[in-house]
Amino acid sequence: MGNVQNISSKRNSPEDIIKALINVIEGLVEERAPTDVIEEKIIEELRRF
Amino acid sequence: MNLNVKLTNISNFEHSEFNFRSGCINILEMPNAAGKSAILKAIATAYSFPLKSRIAEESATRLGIWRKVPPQPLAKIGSSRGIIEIKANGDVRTCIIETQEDIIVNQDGDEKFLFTSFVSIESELFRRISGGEDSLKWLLPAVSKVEDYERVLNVVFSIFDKIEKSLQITKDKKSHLELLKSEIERTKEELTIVEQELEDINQEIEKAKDKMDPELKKKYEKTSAKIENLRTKINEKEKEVKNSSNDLRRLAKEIERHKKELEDIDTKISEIDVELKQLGTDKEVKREIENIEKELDDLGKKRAIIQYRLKMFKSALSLNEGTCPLCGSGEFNKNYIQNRIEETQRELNKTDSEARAFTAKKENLARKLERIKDLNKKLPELLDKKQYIEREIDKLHREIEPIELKTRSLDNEIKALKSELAEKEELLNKLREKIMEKSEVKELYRKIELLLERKGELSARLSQKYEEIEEISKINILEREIPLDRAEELCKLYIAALNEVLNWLKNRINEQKKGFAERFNKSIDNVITRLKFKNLKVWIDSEDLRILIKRGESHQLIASLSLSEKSVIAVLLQIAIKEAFLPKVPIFLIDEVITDFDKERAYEVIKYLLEVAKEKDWIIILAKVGEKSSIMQISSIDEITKIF
Repeated sequence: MGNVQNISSKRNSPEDIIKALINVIEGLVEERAPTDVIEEKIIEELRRF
Repeated sequence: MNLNVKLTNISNFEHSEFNFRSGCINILEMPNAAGKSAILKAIATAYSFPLKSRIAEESATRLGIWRKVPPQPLAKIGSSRGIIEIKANGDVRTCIIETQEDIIVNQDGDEKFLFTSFVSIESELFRRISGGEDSLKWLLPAVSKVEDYERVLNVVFSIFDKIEKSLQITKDKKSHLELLKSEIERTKEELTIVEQELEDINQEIEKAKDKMDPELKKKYEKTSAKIENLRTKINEKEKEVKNSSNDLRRLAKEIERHKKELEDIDTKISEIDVELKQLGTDKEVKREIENIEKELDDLGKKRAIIQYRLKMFKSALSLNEGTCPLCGSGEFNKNYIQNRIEETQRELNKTDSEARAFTAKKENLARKLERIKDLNKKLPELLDKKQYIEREIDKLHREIEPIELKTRSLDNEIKALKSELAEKEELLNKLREKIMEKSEVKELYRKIELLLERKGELSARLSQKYEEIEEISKINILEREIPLDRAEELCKLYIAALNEVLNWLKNRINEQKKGFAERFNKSIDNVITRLKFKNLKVWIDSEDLRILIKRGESHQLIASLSLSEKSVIAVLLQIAIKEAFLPKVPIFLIDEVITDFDKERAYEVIKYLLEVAKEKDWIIILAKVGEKSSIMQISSIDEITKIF
């Protein structure tokens, strides 16, 4: 019942997220991605942590 | 370096060819409406397409180079296709302008060319400066990534806001949870006290019962046991009803989720339908490809013939002069054969160039075909998924039916049990009254009734609090349900990271702005110094990118300048922009404007441009109105006066 996600028990630091997000953003800027794609990719990246 | 421009069905030109040289100023002189602007626009098209940004599209539309909605303005009226071929040092650029479609290029240009390398009264900078605009903000997105970083910044801000809200909700829920837990503790304590009191009173009643009539006592105990039994049954049935209700809620939620999925699929299907309508059918595209393949085939055959002719002419050269290559006698003109070889070579080059353009178009269509195939593959997948979900919804509805039936039947059973319970309770009351008449337990029973009522209230409150805990134990963060005990930590982690990312983005934007201002200021400073305009200083503010002009000791606003002064400033800014932001493309086009300056100013600017052309080996083309059509190359300062 419900769709509670499994959250990784591994503790992540903000630095890990910052690094990953900057990486994604550089790619999005390079390909001049539209707003909806930017939002989707950033949320997707955040959800990995 | 030479720039060879061939125009086929462009503006007024059916088949025309123009040659320009680097290291000098090329003066393109033509009478009014003869097409000199079209030549410059054709060169600008070849070096700027395909366009990627909105501002470039708008600029190209204003310049009369391109239109989003055909017909394309550069193609000759009445022709289906115009061709621009440009050769410079082995670099061959071919643009096919399909009058009723779009512009196709064989190699990508840089849209920055439109803003940096082309000056005319319609060009972006000239138009803005003439209108009194005093900022270069508009140029920033065209020559930097600022706009892209700003787009990301806005998205990150909105995600940051969402997470901050989620954190607040998490905190509110947590304090509510604490409150609920302490209320539960208090209720449990009160319940224990009530139960203890009930037990004490029951013991007293037991003692009193020992004194009563054994027959009455037996009947009383039997009825009490029956009542207890009925209450247990009712509780069990009510528990079952509660479970069924939970199941029904879960199934309803699942149906809701599936319906949402169906909506998403329908949206995707209609988007695909629209795109497919725009792309056309695969048959149409295949037919177009076949036509191009036929054209390519014809070109291949034509090429083979031309190559054969070339070979024949070359072999004719080896024959003895004075002998006709066909009959072995008569006049043989070596110069004539050499001219034919050159002519045939040109024909061969033209065929190759056309073949490249067709190949580019074919590749474009092949990509279109791939997309159509891809969409046609996706469509049945989506329809299958839609059917699957619809079946799932039906299945869920079928699951709901027996549960609803069972719930109704349980409700009826509970009703029957409750009515039986009421009867037994009435009987027990009567027995109790008899006992009460005989004994001192009347007061005790009254107390029991009050305590039982209180116990019921406390139990109900307890289950309500547990249900509330269940409800607030999860929180939705970025469309995921996260347990409350993990949510605060996760939100704080996201907020810390996003804060840093926002700072990083702001720094990137500032760096881009600062870099833009630094590059431009260095460039304009260099232009003005070299032009020896001692009293003039022009620069842009690195914060708001406003253009600042200082003449002598006084500051001037663009809007306050005369029209001719605005033109001079616009040309200076344009040269600085070109040198700062697109120096690698060695072409600079000027459509009149400079020749409208007063002679002294025009002389200084052209002299400077000549120096730049020589130093950097640029091809500078200056178009002006003249009585005849000609291209004149100005290679030394002494020749500049010829222009006027």
